[in-house]
Amino acid sequence: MSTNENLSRIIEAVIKIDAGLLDTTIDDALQAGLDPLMIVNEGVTVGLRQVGDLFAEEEIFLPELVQAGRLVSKAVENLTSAFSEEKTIAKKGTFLIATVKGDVHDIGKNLVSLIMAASGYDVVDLGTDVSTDDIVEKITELNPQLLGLSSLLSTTMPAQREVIQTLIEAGVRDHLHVIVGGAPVTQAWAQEIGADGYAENASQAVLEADLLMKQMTA
Amino acid sequence: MEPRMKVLSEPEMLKIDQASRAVLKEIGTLADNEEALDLFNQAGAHVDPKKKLVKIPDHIINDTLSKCSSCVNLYDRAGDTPLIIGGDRVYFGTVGIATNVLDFETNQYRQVICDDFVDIVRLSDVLNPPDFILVPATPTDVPTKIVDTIETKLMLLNTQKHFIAEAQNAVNYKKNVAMAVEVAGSLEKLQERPFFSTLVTLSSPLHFRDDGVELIVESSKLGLPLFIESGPMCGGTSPATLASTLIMANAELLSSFVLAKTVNPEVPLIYASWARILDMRAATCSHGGPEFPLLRMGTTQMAKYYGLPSGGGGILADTKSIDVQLGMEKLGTGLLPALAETNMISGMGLFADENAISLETLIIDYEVTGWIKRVLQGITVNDYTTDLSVFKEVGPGGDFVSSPHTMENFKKEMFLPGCMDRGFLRLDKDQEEKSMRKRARKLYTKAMATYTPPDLPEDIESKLDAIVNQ
Repeated sequence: MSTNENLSRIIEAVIKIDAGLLDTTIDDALQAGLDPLMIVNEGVTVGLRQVGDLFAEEEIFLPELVQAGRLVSKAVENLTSAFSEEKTIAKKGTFLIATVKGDVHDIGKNLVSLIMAASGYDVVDLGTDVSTDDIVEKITELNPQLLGLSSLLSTTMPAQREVIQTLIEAGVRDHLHVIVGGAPVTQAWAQEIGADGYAENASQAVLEADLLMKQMTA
Repeated sequence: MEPRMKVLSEPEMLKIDQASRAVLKEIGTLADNEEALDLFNQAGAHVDPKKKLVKIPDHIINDTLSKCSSCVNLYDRAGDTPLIIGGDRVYFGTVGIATNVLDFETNQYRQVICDDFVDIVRLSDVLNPPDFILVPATPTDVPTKIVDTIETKLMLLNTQKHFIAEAQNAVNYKKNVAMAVEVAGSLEKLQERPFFSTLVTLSSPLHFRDDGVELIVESSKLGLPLFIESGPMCGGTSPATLASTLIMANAELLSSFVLAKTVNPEVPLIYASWARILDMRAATCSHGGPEFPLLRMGTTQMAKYYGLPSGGGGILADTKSIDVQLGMEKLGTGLLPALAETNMISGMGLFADENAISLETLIIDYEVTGWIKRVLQGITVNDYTTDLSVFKEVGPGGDFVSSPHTMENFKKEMFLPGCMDRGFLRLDKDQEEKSMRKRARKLYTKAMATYTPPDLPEDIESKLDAIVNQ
């Protein structure tokens, strides 16, 4: 079986959200000598992106997307731990995420956390109703490349602006990419408050993060 | 429990029954057809050949009802499992005497042609429901004399599902049967698993027309199922009370059953009704108001009172466009009969006061039936659905979305709409982008990609054409 065939089978297993099939296809690929990093980047995460697209197109449902995310996270974890330290799979970057102050919605935020983690990011989830001060403190402490701010209510959207302002005042905005999201949030709002990116759904968040990371290294 | 609804009490049904019997015994029914008069005479009814009036004594009604089955099996051409019509089962189907179509591309009305008929039948084939296909439209590009046989031909060629055919006389009925026999292989095979039934529309008030009699007689002779419907108009062809309209519909149906069972006690019969009101402003019959589903529930209850399989109009609309009124009428006239357990609810696709059909409305009705079917399921309360372990597993403040319990249950518990718009209000996007109509169109393309024509014997089309043109 060719490298492409092995990867296609892995992608298909993720799309089918079939844990057993995913294990088998990954084992087969490893047996065939495929690099674990390639399996992650060109196999499972590609499959997950396609699952995300299917969700965005309303072909599959929320619990299925969550399950696919969990499946892929576990697969990535197994692939990572199966190898010695010098061959570990490097994380794409650190992604800190929070639902802003006054907002307790976490389903969308959790989904972004899960899909980002499954797509190779080191995710730090601060939870919901997180104060601006707490977010800025964590940024200073962890120095992540990416920050995700979720807001599900039009009344809590201004808190996203407040966080960005406070980051500037604290002098930690420059090397940080901020992505905003949540049902009422729009691209126009993201621009208005000076965010770097906007994501309409979880898989878009990954695309946006990948793009921003690329810009950062370029 | 499964939510269900009734509009008549036991004593009220008895009153309708008594009144219907009295109408048939004392007032009688007109039968402007020699064969019908002979058959009623044979059955023991009092026939006045001069006035062509038939008075049916009670014992004949009792005798007729004793010969009726509580269920009728309607087969399709694909498998062995029939739709069992009767009891608490609820099925939805198309219907359409409509000669107009709201064009999918132009959103303009135009006359139905055979291509439209084929499109509608194929869409009905891939969507579920329709569980059965009652002639969904009337093509206008073929000679009127043979249009019914062409409809039958097109249904035979384009769907495996059980269909209800129409025929304007005995000659065309026989052509329908001949075509079905050609497809089935033999008459015996067709009789064993009838994959089509015949629609009989009775005329009100209390008047047998030639066509109705011919269809009842010919289909009964062969023992092929009949979907007999009576559609008196409250205030027009029946008295201006809903109760009397039920009496009229019931009396007409019972008298037609006497006729059918006199020809052949084994003929499978479905008690169906289109009882409705005459709209006193527009002078048309209305199928979208509250009276229509009330009457349907009433006729359904009367069918059940006698232990008969039931059917009739539902999911209908008077509106002339795909608008707010359509949604209101379709849901109201679909949900209520379903709650009364009308076994065959026919109306999918039809709107504009029975004058138009469209692919879009058929898809919207498919969505409406999904909504209704979910209501019929009710709320399941048992040890499994109230299991506390998932409460413990997720715990206070947790997230049920990612629980395996959700994955196991969401599709069973929730209606997953195909074209209703449920997204968040996005002010930066076109609000019409995900409107029901747009989504219905998308669903059409997706659904039709799964269509496969039925398996048919070779050269079938030319054989059917030869029968049509005999």
